[in-house]
Amino acid sequence: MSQDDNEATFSAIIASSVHDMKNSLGMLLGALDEIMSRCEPNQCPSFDGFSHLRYEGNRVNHSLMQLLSLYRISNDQYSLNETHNDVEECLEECFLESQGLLELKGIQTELDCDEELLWYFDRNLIVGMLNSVINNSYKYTKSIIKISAYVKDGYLAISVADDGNGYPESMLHEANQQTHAIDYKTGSTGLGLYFSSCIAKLHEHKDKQGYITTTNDGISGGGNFTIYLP
Amino acid sequence: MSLWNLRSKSVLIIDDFAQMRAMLSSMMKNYEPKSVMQAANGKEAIELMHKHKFDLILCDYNLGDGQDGQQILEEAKYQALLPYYSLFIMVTAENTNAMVMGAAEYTPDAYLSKPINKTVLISRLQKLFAKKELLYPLSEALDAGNLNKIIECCDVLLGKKLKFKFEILKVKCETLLELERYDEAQAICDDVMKERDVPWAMMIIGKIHFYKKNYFDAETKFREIIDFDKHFMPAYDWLAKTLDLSAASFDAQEVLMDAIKISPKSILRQRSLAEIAEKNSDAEQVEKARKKVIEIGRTSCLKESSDYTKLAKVYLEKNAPQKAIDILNETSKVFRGDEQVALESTVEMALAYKAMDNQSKYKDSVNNALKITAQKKSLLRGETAIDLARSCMDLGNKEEAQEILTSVAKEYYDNEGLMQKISSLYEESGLGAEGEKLIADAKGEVVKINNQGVDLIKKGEINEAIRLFQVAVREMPENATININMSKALILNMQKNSFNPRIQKQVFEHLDRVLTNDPENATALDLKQQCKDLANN
Repeated sequence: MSQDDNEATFSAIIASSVHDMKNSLGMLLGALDEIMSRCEPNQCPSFDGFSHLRYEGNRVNHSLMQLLSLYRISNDQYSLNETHNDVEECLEECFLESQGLLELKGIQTELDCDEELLWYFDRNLIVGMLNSVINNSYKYTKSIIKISAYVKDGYLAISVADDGNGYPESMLHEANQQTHAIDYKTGSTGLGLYFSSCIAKLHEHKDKQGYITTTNDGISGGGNFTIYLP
Repeated sequence: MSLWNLRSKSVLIIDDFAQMRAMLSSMMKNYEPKSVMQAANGKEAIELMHKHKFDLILCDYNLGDGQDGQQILEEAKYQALLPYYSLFIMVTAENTNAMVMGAAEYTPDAYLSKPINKTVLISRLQKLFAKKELLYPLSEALDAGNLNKIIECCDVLLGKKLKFKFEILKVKCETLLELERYDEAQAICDDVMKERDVPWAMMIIGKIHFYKKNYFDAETKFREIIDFDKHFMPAYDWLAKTLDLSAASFDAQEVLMDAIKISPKSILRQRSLAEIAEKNSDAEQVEKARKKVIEIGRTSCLKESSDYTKLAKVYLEKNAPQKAIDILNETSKVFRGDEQVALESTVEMALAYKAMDNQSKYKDSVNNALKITAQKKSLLRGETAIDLARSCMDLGNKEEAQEILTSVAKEYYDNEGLMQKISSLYEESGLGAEGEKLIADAKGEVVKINNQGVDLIKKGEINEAIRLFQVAVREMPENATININMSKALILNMQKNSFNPRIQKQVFEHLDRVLTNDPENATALDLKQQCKDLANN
């Protein structure tokens, strides 16, 4: 077996075990939800512990999802499933996904989106990516996460803003720095941003390509992640 | 507990893991579905769908070794087990559409990614069922195949400014194509594409070119779609069809081979590839594609016995009779109880034993085939009949051969390919003149019946004509002229009396027999249109 074959086989093995892990994780999170639905937040001493478990479980899930998607993209096996989507509905779904966690920590949510807004993108991919962004904001925010969507210069912009301490200098990416490569070597958030940027780039329309920005103009100087889709 | 509920809904959960099925079922429990059934694989799911109509199907994409979720969806649609009002949700383990699902011919109502969050699931179901309710009149029209009604429903919905207007536009365009109202479909697509290139609208435009026989423009369009999104599989299928009709069957084969590299699991596409390779005399590719068709078809309702017998023929031509015998044995097992298949494989089996020089088994097989034929003459058709006649002739049973060939000649006298085969069979045996006479006699007999019928129609005795053709069709079910004249008589009957959907169905059956053998038959296509117009007036 040649070196290339070895690598190809190894990638496929990783992909299939990631697939397997995701299935197990799904069962694990499902069981956890089942347990949590049976115990009252105020009466069960383990409730906070369970919630933390759920949060970490979500994080693992998002990482696995990113890993698999990046594997598909790099092998050219990825096919976008783009359709016209109800943007507000997609964003509501993002909040629903993390509802339990957010309520528990008393984090407020705010959604600012024109209810008529329709846009063309891969729904599952974008919602999945936004979920991991929200999961990340959850860790850093103090009291609120706000999602807004609007159309700007022929792009749909979706922002996730919080009132935490903002991104560290090394992770800031302004719109005019698009060419500046997003590095995945800077820890898990770095990987998340790298993934988001890949997803954004997959969305193309005419001569435009999707991109992301990370700025510290969120709420009271908090972090603000924005994805722009043409 | 909650106002919204699933009380009127029957649910089917398809997943290979029992725990997963239990989990999904428990997520919905509080909403009190009318019933929840479970299936662990495609076979169980399809069986259940035959017995029950479901309002909601939650199907895992990845089901282990058997069929995947997409194949179940396709099979259910193909067998008309999935009414338009029911909701089919595909559950995927990855957030990616690795298996090019989004661009498939049939798509589910929604995709949900694992792990499934209960809140999200319920919210999705609420929204999707609300949407289905809005679409209900349209679903009914779609299920009934009532084209004008479909357009009417689309227009009503489009007047409502709904968020899923593009889906409705797509349905409307597809229906306009069927109604041959090409300019209207084109206008809608042009309008949609003012904003951006959308593959489905590009596809409609390509099909318009195709139906208008602008094959060059159609080809350009389909290639453009593939450049735009190389995973958009229907574009490959249509491109191949277009190329084949543009006398570029080698290019068509290449396109299908590219498509199969991306999406190898479509039985229909593999079969098209086998057929085009047959046309191109590419035995190696025929063998590959037929094998693949059989492999995919094992778990599918889309399997056909000809996939097996044609592979056997490839082996016979390759002079690999043992392989032919193996595949024919498998055929009889897979299609047990089907007399037609039994006859066809016995006839091919005889040829294989002949090639192996196994005289006794050769004779046994021929005798077995004759026994089946004696019981039910109508089973013997086309090429199988000629193959059997050839064996009879070869074994010195000229009388039997003659009898078989006479009925083939009657039935298919207007099929030049088959008549050629009969002539060459006689020539091989040095009996060329006899062959010509046999064909001429058979033709004369059919022409006689036919003229009688046409006379009756002229005299206005349409019912008499129908009766005459009925007898003839029973004797020669595949005969094109008789089927066409029968259709003409039936249409005249409807014009005289009134439109009758049952008779229309009968007409379509007759015309489809003609079109299966000769897809471009202009008279048959024209009559089909006439019959459709009758329904719409």
